[in-house]
Amino acid sequence: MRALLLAVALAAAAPAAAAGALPFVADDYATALADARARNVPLVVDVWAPW
Amino acid sequence: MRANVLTDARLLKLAGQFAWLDIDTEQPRNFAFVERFPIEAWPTILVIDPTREQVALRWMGTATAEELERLLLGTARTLRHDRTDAAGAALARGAALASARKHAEAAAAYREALEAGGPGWTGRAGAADALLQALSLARDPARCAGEARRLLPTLPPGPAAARVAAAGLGCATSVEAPGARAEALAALEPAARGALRFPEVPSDDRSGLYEALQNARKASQDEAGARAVAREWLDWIEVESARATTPLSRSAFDGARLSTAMALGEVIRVLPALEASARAFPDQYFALAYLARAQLEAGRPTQAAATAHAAARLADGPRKVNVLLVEARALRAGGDLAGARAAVDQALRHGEGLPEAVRPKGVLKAAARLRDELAAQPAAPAATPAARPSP
Repeated sequence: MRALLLAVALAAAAPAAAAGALPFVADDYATALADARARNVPLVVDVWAPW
Repeated sequence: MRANVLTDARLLKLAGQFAWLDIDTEQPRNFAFVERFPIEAWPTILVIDPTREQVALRWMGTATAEELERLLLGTARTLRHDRTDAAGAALARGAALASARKHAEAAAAYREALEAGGPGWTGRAGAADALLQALSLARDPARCAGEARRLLPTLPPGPAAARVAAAGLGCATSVEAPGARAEALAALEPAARGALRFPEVPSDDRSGLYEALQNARKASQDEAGARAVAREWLDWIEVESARATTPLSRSAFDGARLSTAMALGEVIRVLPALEASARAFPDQYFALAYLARAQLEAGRPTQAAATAHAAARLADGPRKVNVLLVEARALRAGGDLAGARAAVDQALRHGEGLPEAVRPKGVLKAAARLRDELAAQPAAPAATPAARPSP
């Protein structure tokens, strides 16, 4: 159920992504992994550091 | 990458085909992620198979939007097993091995991918780049330089060939046998020089080429040649950053700006740009950290100590150690030995308290050396001129 709610929430966010930014989850691997599993898609991770 | 590539329309249209995560490795909450997926370079793009939590693509450094689109779609196809693709499967195996820090085995997988894919394979440039990175990390510079020489003639002029030229030349400088090193440098230096003219090479990769060319001159004991490259590099940085449209994209040049100016002994020249970045990002440690280092180099230790102190208060991750080290050096240069000892002790405490996977071991060694130097230094009250910090 939680995964379903997450998928719905992130699916709702997807059109905003098309408007100018990819729907990155910031600094939360568990949430992003749950989204990837719920939608059965690969998880892209941008690993960076402010420098 | 974040400012330009990841906002490109080519990638925005992939939004629904992937889940997206960004990980700032300076954030303590992400240390567990870095322990699980070790990172060797910044930025790194990972594609993780969510079912097995295994890395299927590991791309270190920059990429153009077109390259990244191709890499992501190719990896997604491999994960879906849409088609029998031996090259793609070997590439994914290489990524998983590299993520487990099995770099020699990863190199073998990448080599297998190149052979399976053949000259027309769309993943060839990416696999070539990954192969050189793996060989470099496996500390096999002779093979790395040799592969670069073999692969370069097979790659079209462009970003990937530029990265292969820079990586290969970087490896050539580390080849142990003097004769083999000279031969590799002679072959790869013109290739890297030529790659500066390739189209669509991102700024970070151009800086990578200049850095490799500078180090190649140093490896040939040609200090005048190394300075000439540094001058050319800094001139290019100033032209490019003047074209930048946002403070963020301008500040992206600051690291290279500072290192080239230091190599030329012309830090004063870049202080205004670093001060502008510090004003634009008052809450970000990195802009203050660059400025502190420049102020120290410019012989302004009191300013440098204050700026580094402010930077250290904003930093919380592995790079805080280096910021505190700059503060300690600035305090020592200003004659405050007690303050310097306190700053270096704080640097060591912070760094040693970090999880092993994110601990900055090289910087901690430098901090330990400074602590020992300070312990041996008598408490002289007179201020000394700002010393050039040791590397």
